[in-house]
Amino acid sequence: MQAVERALDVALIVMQNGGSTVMADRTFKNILKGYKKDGVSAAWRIDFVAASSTAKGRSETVLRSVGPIGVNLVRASEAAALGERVAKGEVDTAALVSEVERVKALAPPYNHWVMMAAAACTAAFFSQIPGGDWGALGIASVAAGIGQFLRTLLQARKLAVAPVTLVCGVLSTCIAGFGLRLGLSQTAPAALIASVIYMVPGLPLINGFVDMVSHQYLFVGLERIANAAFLFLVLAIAIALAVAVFK
Amino acid sequence: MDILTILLNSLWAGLFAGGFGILFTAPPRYIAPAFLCGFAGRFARDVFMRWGMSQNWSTAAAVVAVVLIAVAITRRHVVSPVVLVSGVLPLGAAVAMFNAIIELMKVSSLNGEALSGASVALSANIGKVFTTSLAIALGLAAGMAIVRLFRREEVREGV
Repeated sequence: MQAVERALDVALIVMQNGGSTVMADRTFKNILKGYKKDGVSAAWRIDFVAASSTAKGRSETVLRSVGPIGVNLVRASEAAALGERVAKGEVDTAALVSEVERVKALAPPYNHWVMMAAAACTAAFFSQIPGGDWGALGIASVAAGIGQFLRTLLQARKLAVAPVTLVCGVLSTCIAGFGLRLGLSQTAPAALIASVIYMVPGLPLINGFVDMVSHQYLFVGLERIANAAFLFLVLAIAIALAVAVFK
Repeated sequence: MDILTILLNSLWAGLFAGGFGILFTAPPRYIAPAFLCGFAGRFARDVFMRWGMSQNWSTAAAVVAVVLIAVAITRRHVVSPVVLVSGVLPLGAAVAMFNAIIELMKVSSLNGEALSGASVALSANIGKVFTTSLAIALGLAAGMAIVRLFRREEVREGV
């Protein structure tokens, strides 16, 4: 089962860093191809993966926990590329453990300040899509930038996604609510929603759609969509709190 | 909606998509494709709506366009989830989703006319979220099917 264990190591990097199930399963199969191992099937869920194989009339199953799912698409990309290289024979299976460690150690391509600026800009641009005024643009960018700063600090402490989303959402919407109270904008919905848009769970939502339309990962797709809906609910609670406080 | 407004909205959507690409920690080579997909998706949807197509069919057609453009412009022509996600997000019903949840929280504490108003707003927003999400799923499925049809090989998927 060593081949299956190694294949799961690489495939789980894809799952844990924001890759879709389609991508994780393809990586899993690529690694097994490198080991020249056939007849292995895997059942994917958002919280665990089970891989079964039959050898010499005996059936064996490996169950692995997926763990917390974050976003580092560089790692997911490298893990998928590693799978392709192993399948083509460009990477020896003996070197796989060190390659996995290398991929796991890859840092995100952008530092905290770039992420903060990206959150501020994303919020500012989004505020214009539902018809926000220039005041909404300014309020949303400041609220999202400060919220992203706090989010980075909380994520560094390995806190769970939902509390981080709630705390940062409340901070961002309160800043936006304060700006609206000062009369800086006349388009309150655009400013409030844009101030938390940087935390919208877009990746799980679209990965869920991709999993569902692939016809092979219906359950994991539904789990991802339910997870995204829960985070939307958390953000909406944050908006409702700010509306109640600054009404 | 005049063409200048459509172009301006598309520009905001493209910039939003590019910013989201960075927030998703996409490798730098995917930021420009994310911008282009965000721009093209919103532009296609608004143009289709201007031609008289309903919002949901316009959204589905725009998502198909995003998938095709994402495959055409990314290196190695892989279906890139990060480009898809960033390109599709400006078409999503985020505002309706938030409004629906806020109305849901309101209905438990209202009475009479106010309750009726909130209930109508709630069902309208839920309907909008549902149909828009369905249109996005339909567009993704159709886009992937078109790519498979023309490439006649397994659709590969990158980051």
